[in-house]
Order: sequence, then structure tokens, then C-alpha cells
Amino acid sequence: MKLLTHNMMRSHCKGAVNGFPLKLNFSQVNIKEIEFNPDFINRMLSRLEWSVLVDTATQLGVNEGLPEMLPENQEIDDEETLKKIHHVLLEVEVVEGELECPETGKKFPISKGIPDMRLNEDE
Amino acid sequence: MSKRYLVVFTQSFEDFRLPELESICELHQIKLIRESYSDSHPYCVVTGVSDADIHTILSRCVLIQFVAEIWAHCTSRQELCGCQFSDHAPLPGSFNIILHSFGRKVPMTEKIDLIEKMEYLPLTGEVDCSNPDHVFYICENYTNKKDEGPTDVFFGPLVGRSNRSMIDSYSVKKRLYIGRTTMDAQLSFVMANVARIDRGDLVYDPFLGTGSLVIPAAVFGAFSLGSDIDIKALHGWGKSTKKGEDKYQTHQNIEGNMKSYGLSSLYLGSLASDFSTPLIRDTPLFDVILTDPPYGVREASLKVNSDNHLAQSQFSLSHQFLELLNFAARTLVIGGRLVYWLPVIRDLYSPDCLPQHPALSLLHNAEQVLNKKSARRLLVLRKTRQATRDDTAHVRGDEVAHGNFRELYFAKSS
Repeated sequence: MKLLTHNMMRSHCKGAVNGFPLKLNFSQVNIKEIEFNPDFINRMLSRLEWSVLVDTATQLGVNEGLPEMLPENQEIDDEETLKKIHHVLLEVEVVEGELECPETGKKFPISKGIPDMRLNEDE
Repeated sequence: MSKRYLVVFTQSFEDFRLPELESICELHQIKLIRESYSDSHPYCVVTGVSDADIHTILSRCVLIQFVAEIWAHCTSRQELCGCQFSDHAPLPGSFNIILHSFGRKVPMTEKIDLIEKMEYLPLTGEVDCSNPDHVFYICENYTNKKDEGPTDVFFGPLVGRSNRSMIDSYSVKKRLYIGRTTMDAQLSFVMANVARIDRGDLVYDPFLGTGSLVIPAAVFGAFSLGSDIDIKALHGWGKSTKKGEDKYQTHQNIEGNMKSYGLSSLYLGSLASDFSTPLIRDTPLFDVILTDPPYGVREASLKVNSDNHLAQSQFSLSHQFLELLNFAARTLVIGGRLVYWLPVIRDLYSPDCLPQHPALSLLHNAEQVLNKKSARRLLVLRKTRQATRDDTAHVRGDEVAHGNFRELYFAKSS
């Protein structure tokens, strides 16, 4: 599971109003080299919950060089910064771990990089 | 005066040919003008474009075979033979003339005879079939099968051939990992084209299955992610559907496919989830939602008529399709597109059967016939504004047209 994906996900347990952000517990993380596309990274900036990305990156220890806040226009020109954001969004993968609904505490396993978000009937 | 070109389509998926061409033109701001087109044959005369525009179109459209510039458009062979080509300076260098016909197979001897009868050839070099400097086409349209011969005879230089050969590289037959629901490669590329997928787009497939739709999205430079309730399909667990194979091997999964094509960077991964409770934030995130939902429908009640026989069952449109439109209205960016297949019973279909949403506008509706009774329609919708609380997906008319689709669809021989 990449951090870009985590930033777009919320839980849908009964009783959860927002279900976002999902808490992350991890036991195995991989770094995978991904081709850099600066236009794509810039385009994503306005669609992300930036503070959640920073918090999650910090938790994983990969937040070095990540700006605390985005500029007003949500665009970044500096290629070095874009590369750091690219690294955090796309190159860090949680392979084994779990996601937790922030409201109900329901846990969703992540196995081989794929989160299992399926709920039972009563959830 | 603007050049005129002959676009030669494939004679298959006729309903999809113009939507694909128009979508690519819109994506690249190409102001193509169509002078003639018919579903019944492959020849389409266009103008208002440049050679560079044609090459752009050829790089994407898979339902086009090739495009030639029109130096002569005649209504008979005699007329072609009398052409003086005064608008075109004769070309030096070697050449080959290919005859392409539709509605009749023209023997080689006839082609040679025709070329010999031409009073004037604007080509001064030698014939070279293997590596010519210029390739020219004579295209003959025999759709009307008149005894006098073809109704249209075109003559002109080849501008380029389409990238159709790439379909072969991504052929499902050769792919590492496929399943029962894997989409045919050609159709998956058509879908990506009518979705106007562009480099750097973010694409989501909520019914990901074996990931067949993320492949053309990635080929066109877009990033994709998806979800599916079938966690085994996402991981590549279980028994292979390929003849001669037992269980799927470790490399046989969506990631394995992307790696084998050199497209790993563009696959963002997947999530196991039931689409009826989507787990994506309710905010504009995606440029495209590209998907082939399951065709199951929810049964309503069976009716018994006065003769005590079971009357035509009234089936209702699956809640799933309405939810798909609601989901798209919430999570697409403005201008983003939803592209999905909708099953229909042909006799019962009318445009009123289509799911609609106030924030989504219908761009294309193309039919693929599956058997005598049923078809599926590829629908392309664009998000025109943010959805409000009151906006919701609905069907204007009768929902009966969607029928007991699953049975009919899987009964057909593939």
C-alpha cells in the first residue's frame, strides 16, 4: 500500500462518520524505485490531505525534506522538493501491517501490500 | 486548400470507431472535419487536419488501420485512369502501390491491369515491393456491389499506419495472469481512448478483477489503482483459467503483468473492498474511473398473468450501477470521465434505461452486441460540476431492459 493510496482511503464501518484518516500499524515496509513524473506529483498536491501525509510519513520515518505545509496555490516548482514528495507518495510501500478505523477501532489487515477492507454483515 | 485524408477503419466494433476518433481529437485539440462516414464500410474522408495531427491520431486509435492522403477520389476506375493529378508534382524515388478493397476481393492481376491503364502516374521511380520510398494506396469501396464496379476509388500516399500492432503485444493470450473476467486487449484500449486518458492522469477501477484495464491506462502514461471484492483475483491466488496451467504461480498476479510489460511504475496497487460501501474519501480525486462492473442484477418479483403462466419477469437495474454514478459524481474531478459497460436486453432498450446523474453528462453510448438477445453498452460520462447533497443517480424510464443478464451473458460462447 502506497502512502498516496492511504491518503485517499477512509473506513466505512457502521457508526463511523468520517473514518479518516485510517491509523497505520506496520511491520514490513519496502522502498521501490518509481519513475518520477513531476506533473503528476504537482497535480496530486491539491487532492491530498497534506497534514495526514506528513503525519504518516513521519510515523514511517520517511518525512525528511517534506514541507510541513503546502504553499497557497498548492504548486511546487522546486524539483528537489517534488522528488521528495514523489518518494513519500509512491516509493514507500507498506507490505505487511494493518489499518485501523479512527472511530470504531476496527482493524483491517495489510498483506502483501494489499489492504483487506471488507466488512462483515454487522460491521 | 486543406488536404483531404482517407481514414481506413477496421470493420469491427463499428459503434466505437467514431467515439474513439472523436475522443482522441478532443484530447489533442484536433479540429477534424468528417466529410463522409458510414458504419457499413471502413472508408472515412476527413479534412481540417495536418499530417502531424494524423500521426497523433494513429498513435492512439486502435480501430483505425491506416490513413492515406487523398490525391484522387473517383466514382469509377475509368475516372481514376483519366486523372492527371495536376495538383501534385510527380514524386521521384521507388514506390509500391497497394490495393485495398472492401466488399470484394480484387485479384492481383486486376490491380496490375488497373495501374497499367492509368494514363498518368505521379511517380517517376521504380517499383520496389520490399523497401519503397513511397507507399501509395488505391482503395475501392464495393459496399453497394454494383455490377459496374466500385462506388468509390481513392488514390494517394500512405501517411501512416496505426499502432494496432501494440494490441498484439498486450494480447490476453500471451499475458502472464488472466482470469474469467479479463477484458479483451483491443476493447480495453478502446475504453482507455474514449476515456480520453492522458499522461499523468489518475485512474481508478472499482471492479479491478485481474487488472486488465490498468494496462492500457499505463501504456498511455496514466497512474492507476483499483479495488475489488475478490481478494483472490487481486493477489493472484487460486486455480489458473489458462489451459494446461494448474495454480497461479507467485509471479502471476496484477503486479506480475505490469512488470512483464515494463509498466510497474504506473500501477499504484489495489484494495480488497465491497463496492457497495466504497472506501474512498468523498472528494475529487480521480481524472478517470474506468471499469467493467459485474453484470448481475437484483431480482424483483415474478408476475403470474391471468392464464396462470409466469409472465415476463420484471427485473430491476442493479443498485450497483446507480452507486457507480453516485461514486463518480463525488470522486471525479470536474471534467473527469466515468467509462463503464452496461448490460442491456436489446429488444427492451431505449435511452431512458440509462442511469443518469445531474452532475454527469453523457458523451458516448456505443453498443457491442453479444448475442441475439443481449448487448452491452460502453457509456462515457463527463463530470460537469460538483454534486450537491440532493443530486442522486436515477433511471428515467423503465429498468426492465437490464433483464437476467448474467445468465444470458455467460451462456454465450466466447
